[in-house]
Amino acid sequence: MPHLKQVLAGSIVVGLLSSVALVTAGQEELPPVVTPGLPGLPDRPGTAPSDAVVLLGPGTGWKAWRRSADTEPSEWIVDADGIGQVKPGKGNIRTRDEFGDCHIHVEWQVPEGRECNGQSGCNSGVYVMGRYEVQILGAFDNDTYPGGTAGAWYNQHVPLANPCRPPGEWNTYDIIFRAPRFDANGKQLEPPMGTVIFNGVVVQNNAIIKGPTGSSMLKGPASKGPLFLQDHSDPIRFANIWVRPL
Amino acid sequence: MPASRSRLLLASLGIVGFAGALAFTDARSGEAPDDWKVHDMDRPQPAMVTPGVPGTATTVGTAPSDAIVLLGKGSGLGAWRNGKWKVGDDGVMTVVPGSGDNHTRQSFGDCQFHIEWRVPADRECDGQKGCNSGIFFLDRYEVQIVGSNPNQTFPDGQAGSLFGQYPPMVNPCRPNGEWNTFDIVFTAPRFDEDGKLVRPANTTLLFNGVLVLDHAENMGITVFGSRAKYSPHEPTGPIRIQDHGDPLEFANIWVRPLPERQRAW
Repeated sequence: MPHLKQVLAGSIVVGLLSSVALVTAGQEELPPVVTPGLPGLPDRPGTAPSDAVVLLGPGTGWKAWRRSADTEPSEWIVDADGIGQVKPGKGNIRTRDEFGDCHIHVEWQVPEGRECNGQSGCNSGVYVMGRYEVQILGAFDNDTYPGGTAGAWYNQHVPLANPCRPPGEWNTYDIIFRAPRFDANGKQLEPPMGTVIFNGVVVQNNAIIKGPTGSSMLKGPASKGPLFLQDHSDPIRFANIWVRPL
Repeated sequence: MPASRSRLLLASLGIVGFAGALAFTDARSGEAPDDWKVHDMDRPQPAMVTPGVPGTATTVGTAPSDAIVLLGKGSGLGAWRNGKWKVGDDGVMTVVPGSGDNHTRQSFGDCQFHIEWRVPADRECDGQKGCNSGIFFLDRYEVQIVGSNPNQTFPDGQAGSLFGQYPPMVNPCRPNGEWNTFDIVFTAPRFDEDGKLVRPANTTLLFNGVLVLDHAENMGITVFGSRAKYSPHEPTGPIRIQDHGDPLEFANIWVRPLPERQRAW
């Protein structure tokens, strides 16, 4: 906070005490205490903050998810430590819960030794509200069209940088998403917007999303929706998936 | 600076800014976004960046390969104006109380800013006393640092607050003796050539990985005890860390300037 002498020098002193009361009025309630999680490392997934909705972690299985084609449970692979994996051919999965404005954390990995060739071999995606895809792709030493590389809002916003780790190492996505706003007639008042921090590097800075990305799972105006993970026929691994609604 | 000079400067910067906006280009391409076809392989690849190692409660992290490192192992205080603060070879910088604030030599506008900070284990925090500092973007817009585990103070003055404006949404502060991380995405305010506010600043903060400020719109230049207001200034400025009389420690400070906010194509 600024020093008192700066205040004295730079602003009106009269009414200082009453102004303090004004500034802090209505803010007596202390912010809830949250125990932060452990950050994810290349060789070890992290853990969730204490107040997050955990979607994949130690002991959870895929029970927060279901097949997107029907309401049956996800058939993707998962172990007791909370390491999940796409089971190619079993289809996309979606969360049972729906989310609007939120912070989404996902860790993912291309298995060691897997060959990535453009869009082939190492492809998946996180679909926010089932509509807005942040692309997952083994993008380390793998050129593809930039609108379809890891960290892209698919085919809408090229990521600002490519901080992807090589196969066999974990990557982290932190997605700060603001849902679109609609009026009663379904007319969009504000577009969806999204920030993506990829391995600690900002690759999308509150990018304005034009609408559902190509191959979106759901369409139509909504203020919230489920998260989807894509089965693009590649055995991408996942860990430490959580959401904090905002 | 005197108001007249400030207006003149803003007027000239305004013209440059306007020209810049007209010539807005995609981050790396050098051409307007609409010049690219969907799935265009000729479009430049995003630059490869080697990510840093994340900091934890007990270990300090490292910077991504493309960041401007303001403080790291062996960096010394070269990036800072106040050479009186202490720094070790391990890259830990400590406020020397009474020596004054510390400004970066370089100026920054829109940016991603990372800092790790720690209150010494034996330090007593009592409200705003004992464990206080802060980061000021463009020398003006503060994100508060104060030992907050446990320590009650007015919520809009807790760690991770926009001081005097917004409390953090939650309090994920670690106890004294442990490192905390701040990842901040700061967007500078925009003024027109007459010095009129066109778009306020906004601040996003991940505090130990937890989102506590979500594009919070800065109400104005940080002040103590009254409502913040804007007054025009240059589009960039130094980042300042506060000497509030407390020997707080800092490590792994880096910044990545960000391009003009992205648009869809």
